[in-house]
Amino acid sequence: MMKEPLLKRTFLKQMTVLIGAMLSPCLMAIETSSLSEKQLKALNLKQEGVVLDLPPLADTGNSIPFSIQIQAPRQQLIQSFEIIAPENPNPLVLKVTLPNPKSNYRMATRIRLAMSQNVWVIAQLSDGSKISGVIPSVVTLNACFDAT
Amino acid sequence: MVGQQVEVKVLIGHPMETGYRLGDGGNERIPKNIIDKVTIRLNQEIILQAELGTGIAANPLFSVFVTVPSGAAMISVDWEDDQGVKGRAEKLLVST
Amino acid sequence: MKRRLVIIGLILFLVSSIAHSQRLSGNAFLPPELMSLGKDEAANPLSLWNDQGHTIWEAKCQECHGKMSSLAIAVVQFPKWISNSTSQGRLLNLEDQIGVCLSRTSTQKWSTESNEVLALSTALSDAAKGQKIRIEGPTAAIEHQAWQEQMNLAAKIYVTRQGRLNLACTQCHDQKIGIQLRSDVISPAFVTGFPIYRQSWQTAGSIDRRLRACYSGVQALVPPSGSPELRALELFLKKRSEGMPWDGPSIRR
Repeated sequence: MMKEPLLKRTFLKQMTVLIGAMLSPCLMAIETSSLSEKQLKALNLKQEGVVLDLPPLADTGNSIPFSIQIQAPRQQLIQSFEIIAPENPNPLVLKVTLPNPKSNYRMATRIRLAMSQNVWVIAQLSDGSKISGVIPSVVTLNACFDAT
Repeated sequence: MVGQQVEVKVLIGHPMETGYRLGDGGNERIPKNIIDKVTIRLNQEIILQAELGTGIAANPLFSVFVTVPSGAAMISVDWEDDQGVKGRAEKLLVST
Repeated sequence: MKRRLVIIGLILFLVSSIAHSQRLSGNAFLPPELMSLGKDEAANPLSLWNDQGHTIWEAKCQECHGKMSSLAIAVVQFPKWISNSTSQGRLLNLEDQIGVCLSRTSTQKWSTESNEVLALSTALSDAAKGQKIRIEGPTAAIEHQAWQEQMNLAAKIYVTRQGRLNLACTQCHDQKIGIQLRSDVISPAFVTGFPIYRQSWQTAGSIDRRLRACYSGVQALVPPSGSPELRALELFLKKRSEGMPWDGPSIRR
């Protein structure tokens, strides 16, 4: 009668919430560091809160200055983040953990890029969700062969 | 000044050998030897706790930002490489 | 007639001083990010070698040599001619000399690329910033002649084609200055700023190594480290850079 559809609706809603909760841990469990550019794109991560600085044209692949600024959305905290260069032989460039999660974080370093590619930064937030940023760089090399 | 955000640059001398480079004569690969872990602290608080891969450049540089505390401020860096070699350096933050 | 000679002399002097003032150090061919990296002590990898050099100096060298700054003038006069008892001489560059000094207190074999040698060379080079390069041969006639022969040998190498690419130094470094080779820009190769931290090496290296890399670059047989032709070339290149201010240790691609 009247009660049954309401129960059914509530039941469905509860099921949706449960499934949703089951899906997000699965997402977290995927090794982002072993993903290719295509797979990273397919993850459809939120592109927000992450500001990256990388020279668009690097004159060496050996040492490229890279700076990161992460701002977590309101009431969220950053727990960890990864720098991923999908075309590198070892795509996980750096993994930073914040034992005291912060709402914003800044750092800079120098990275190696094996070839021209996009560099991704994916941050894990306190509610289990992720935010990301991506920036491209074209890598050039020295012309002359150096046997020394 | 207390409360001010300052940039701290940490430069570690290490070849960060990827294991892909060829050695003398181009016959052998130079064995991998990279810094695995770096921890930068301000007094007891961890400012940066990182696991490094081969994608970090040789002689790694880390630039982090700290808020100047009141009282003594000691910046310390601990690193360890994949051969088990460890390093540590400390520097007192002098605020004027 | 005399007046005309004076005028010609003056013109030549002016031309040569203009030419000299237009000699550009390798630093002028760096992109702005590398230029600023060179000036940022905290981020410049050469600071690691510089610091280590000062530490070694205080432990091993200060006793005899006193302050590092006292040797600044000497830094810009290498390579020097040393003759042994049989009047056969050879050229010694800064890294060689540091190796000789270190050998006095240690049986270890030092190469121009040894970490301690490069550390001391970097620190000394930094102390010599601004000094004008001065190359003078030995005073004794026979030695001076041998020294001059090395200079002439190197001048000949400089203009001789070699390697699979069949290129002479002068073809790039005099005739193609400013031309881009992938990420490199050809400089006139004035040697005012060694040792260098070369990003492609991912470490610091001496002029010996850089010259060997030049041979490799034209795909010629690379002379072993310390070869006489490398020292002769260094002598010639330093003479060519004479009067230019020393840049100190520099960053390169």
